[in-house]
Amino acid sequence: MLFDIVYGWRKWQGQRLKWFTLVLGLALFCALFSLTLNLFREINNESPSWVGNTKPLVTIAAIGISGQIKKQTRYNIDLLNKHPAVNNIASLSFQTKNITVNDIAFQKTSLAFYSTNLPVLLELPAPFSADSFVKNNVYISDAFWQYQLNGQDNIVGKTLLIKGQKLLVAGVMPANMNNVNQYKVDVWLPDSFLSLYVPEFIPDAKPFLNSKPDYFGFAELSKSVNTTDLQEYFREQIDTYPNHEAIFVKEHDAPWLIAGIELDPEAKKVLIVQCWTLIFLIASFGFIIFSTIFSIYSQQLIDRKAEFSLKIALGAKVSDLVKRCLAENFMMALTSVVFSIFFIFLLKSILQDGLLYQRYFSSDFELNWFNWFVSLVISQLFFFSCTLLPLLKLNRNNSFSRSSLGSKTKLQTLFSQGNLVLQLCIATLAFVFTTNVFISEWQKQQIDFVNPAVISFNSNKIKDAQVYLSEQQKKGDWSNQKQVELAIAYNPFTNLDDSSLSYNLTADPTNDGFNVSGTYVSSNYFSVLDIPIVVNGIFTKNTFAINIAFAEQLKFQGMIAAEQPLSALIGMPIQVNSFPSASYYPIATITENAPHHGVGKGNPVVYLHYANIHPMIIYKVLPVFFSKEKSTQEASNVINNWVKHETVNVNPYQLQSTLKAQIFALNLGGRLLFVTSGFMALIILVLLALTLYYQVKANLMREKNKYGVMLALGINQPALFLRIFKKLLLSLTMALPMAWMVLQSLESVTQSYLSISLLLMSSFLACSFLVFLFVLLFGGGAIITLIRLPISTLLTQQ
Amino acid sequence: MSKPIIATDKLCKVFGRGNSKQQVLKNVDFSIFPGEMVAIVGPSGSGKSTLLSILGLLDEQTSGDYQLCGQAIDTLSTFQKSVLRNKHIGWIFQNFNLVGDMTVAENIVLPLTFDKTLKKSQYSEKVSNVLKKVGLLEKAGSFPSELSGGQQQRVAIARALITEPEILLCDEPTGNLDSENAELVMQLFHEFHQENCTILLITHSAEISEQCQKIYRINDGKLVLTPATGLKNVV
Repeated sequence: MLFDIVYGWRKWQGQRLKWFTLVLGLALFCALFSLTLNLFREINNESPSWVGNTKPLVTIAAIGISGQIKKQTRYNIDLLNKHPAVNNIASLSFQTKNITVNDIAFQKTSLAFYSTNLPVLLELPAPFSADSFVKNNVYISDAFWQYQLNGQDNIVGKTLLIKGQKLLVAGVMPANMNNVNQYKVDVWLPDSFLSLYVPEFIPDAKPFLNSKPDYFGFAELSKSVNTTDLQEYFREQIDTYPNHEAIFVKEHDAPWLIAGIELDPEAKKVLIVQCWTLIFLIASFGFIIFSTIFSIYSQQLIDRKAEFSLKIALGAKVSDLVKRCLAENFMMALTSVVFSIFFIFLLKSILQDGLLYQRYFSSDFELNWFNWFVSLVISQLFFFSCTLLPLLKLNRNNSFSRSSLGSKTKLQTLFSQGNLVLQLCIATLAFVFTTNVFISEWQKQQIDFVNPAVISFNSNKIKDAQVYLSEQQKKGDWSNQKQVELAIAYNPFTNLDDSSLSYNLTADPTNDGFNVSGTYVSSNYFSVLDIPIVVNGIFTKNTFAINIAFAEQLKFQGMIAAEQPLSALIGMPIQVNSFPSASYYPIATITENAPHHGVGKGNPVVYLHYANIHPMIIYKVLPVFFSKEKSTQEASNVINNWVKHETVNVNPYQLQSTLKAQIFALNLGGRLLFVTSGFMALIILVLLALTLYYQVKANLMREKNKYGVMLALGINQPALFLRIFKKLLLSLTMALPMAWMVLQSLESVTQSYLSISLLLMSSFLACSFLVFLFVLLFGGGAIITLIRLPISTLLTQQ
Repeated sequence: MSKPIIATDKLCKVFGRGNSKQQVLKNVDFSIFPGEMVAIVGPSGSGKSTLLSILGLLDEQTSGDYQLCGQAIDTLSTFQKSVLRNKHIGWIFQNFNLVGDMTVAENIVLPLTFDKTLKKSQYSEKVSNVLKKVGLLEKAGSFPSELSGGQQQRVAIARALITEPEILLCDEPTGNLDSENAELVMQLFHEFHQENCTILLITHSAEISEQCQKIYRINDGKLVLTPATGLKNVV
């Protein structure tokens, strides 16, 4: 056995780079397959790992105009209880509040208020040092305990202060409950404590809390029910039983049900597409690596014909040869296992950081070693099959006497040629795919209507913060301090709540109106951010600015006639309802669709003037500052000088990333797709280069005698090069139409799932040229390496 | 006296580097004149095949001068060497070196395809002529694997002759043949020699070498002319 291992290693003498390439390829395949399998299993779980209930469950939520999942009112959630298939309903409300633990104050702590039946309904796991999750108890998360409380001993029984109310910590939750999808949870506490946050002037807390869209509901079903049917039922119930007790809050969003416990279906959708993309690319990668292994081992068999024939002549059976081959390849298999573990950790850290995974999965991307083992078994099975399959020939024909040493059968030649054609086809497909993803992402990056230099400054307030803004400052004029141009807004650029406002076409206090996103901005907001004005007007106090999408919507709703230009809207009044009052002002300006909701998302937006914020609340609002000053320090100084002199209890303003970066941060799915497909294409590119070189060289070495004869008979080197290269070109000309046909068949799939067209002739031609270059460089390189050998060497029989 | 067709001056060939350096040819000086039939004999590993490879432009000498057909080889480009190999030299190898996936006719026509001055229409007549000469006209469509060793060597001879070269370089041409086939091959060589073709062959066999006008013996890399019996066994 040991002899065979050493003998196998010796066989690669002088070809160690090739050996290493195969090992790395094999290890990378195993690691990538393992991670994708891991992701697939995690993503297909209908419930997170901490939910013990295995009965059918649905999540009750609402959906905004742009398809964002939003919270629902408790009143509406309870309406679903009427359905006969619904056993029980629980709810969870995520809030950000200040708390005190052991006399230490924590700002903006994430609290999850659970209904008393939630622990039983979801069968929540027991906290540490407890038998079960007991309702009405207060638990802190593992992350909060570890990082905020430094893992204090005896945390159980410690005091937690919320709104002056003393609560006792009953335990620490398991680490996989640190997040509920994108919602971080620091403290789990019963929803009865929500009443602490009801304003004093509200006489009855229950209708107030029930009518606030603050909850996600979870329904346990007695049997599986079609979610769409159940949703239809839910919608009917809401229409039939409107909440007459609703206080202040108007319901704008549509009811929405999601199968399983799922609060981030958008991310899940992206990750599923991602998984399939990875599967496609890994299959391509796998084909290239395993066909290369098969090809190399076929060549080895041809080269070792005499050796195998001798062994058979000396009495060895085919099974003996197979055992020896297994032992000879043991070293390669073992090394690939070690490298696969290394790659797994490397890729895991790359994929996890800053991409969608961490946001979606409740904790870190958990590695399942069983998945790795499955991938390992599959990859090693493929590997050993590819190394042993060529030996099957021995079964059919033990005698090698008739065929000459070192030559291939016609079938082998055909297979070798076909293999090269498929490899080139698959590599072209992978490049075209990545190029189109890249083009799609690159097009998104070309936002020319937001100045890339614009940065924003945010702050957070301490309790009872107060700010003072002069009328000039509300317009955006800060020149009394320094020559620095600053714009202000109520919201961060990318954080306009989808349905923060509603509007009516006429002044109508009785009508709820239609949802629209909006924010309060200073007069110079558009000029500072370089948002183009489409129809110019003077945007001042008591006027609105709207974007094109909103203007089109108003036109569609009949505010102006279909044949009239959008400029006809200028001067026409609309009513915009915001808390705590409504404004009935004329439209002053129409702007381009700014990417508040992400690139390419032209949602309707109304801009109200900052001076129109209700006087009761304007002194409590911390504006977001925008600047395109070259000297960020100067802008920061102006802002913080204002904080120092004109505000109370306001923390210094901090510089945020550029607006462009904030906008791209919304595009996690696209970035993830680009990063992973780009990474895979790069690997395929490297592998293609190596396999092209090795395979072409191996193929040529099989026929070196023929080429030696040709050179001896007088063919010159360039002519021989062209003669051989023509064969490679033939493979390429067969591979490219094949790739185009596959792209055509994939077009509808990529269009519907990725919104990417693969049939872009320019990118196909560019990728084809790239593959041609690779063929020329690496295939041609292999040819030159061979034909530069002395002819006498080429003619030497092995 | 005519100029030599092959002339070497202090030809040396060294393989390997450092400690593994091995000098295979040591100051080889010799000439072959047009129309001569010369044999080089010597024990295995003495450098016979290396010398022939250098003379046939399949390999390069480490030092020394070599003139072929009056041209100094050192001054030639690889392209010019290819032309020389194609038009002036005919090669015959011990192991025939036929291309396995080509028919007999395709093997024979191969050198002609490298000469762009020839028309394809001329190929078939030339192939028929040489095949007639070697007596294998009926085997034109066969593959090498379907032929006996003697037949394969005759195909190789036909391939060497199709370009009507001035020199035939034969590396152990009868080494893989039985005596009957060896005799047949030698008979063909004598016929070509009669047609004023220069023949240089390497052999182990005294019987073969004695059929040549000149016999060179190579030993330990040194080439020495031995008195030849001169075509005494010509059939």
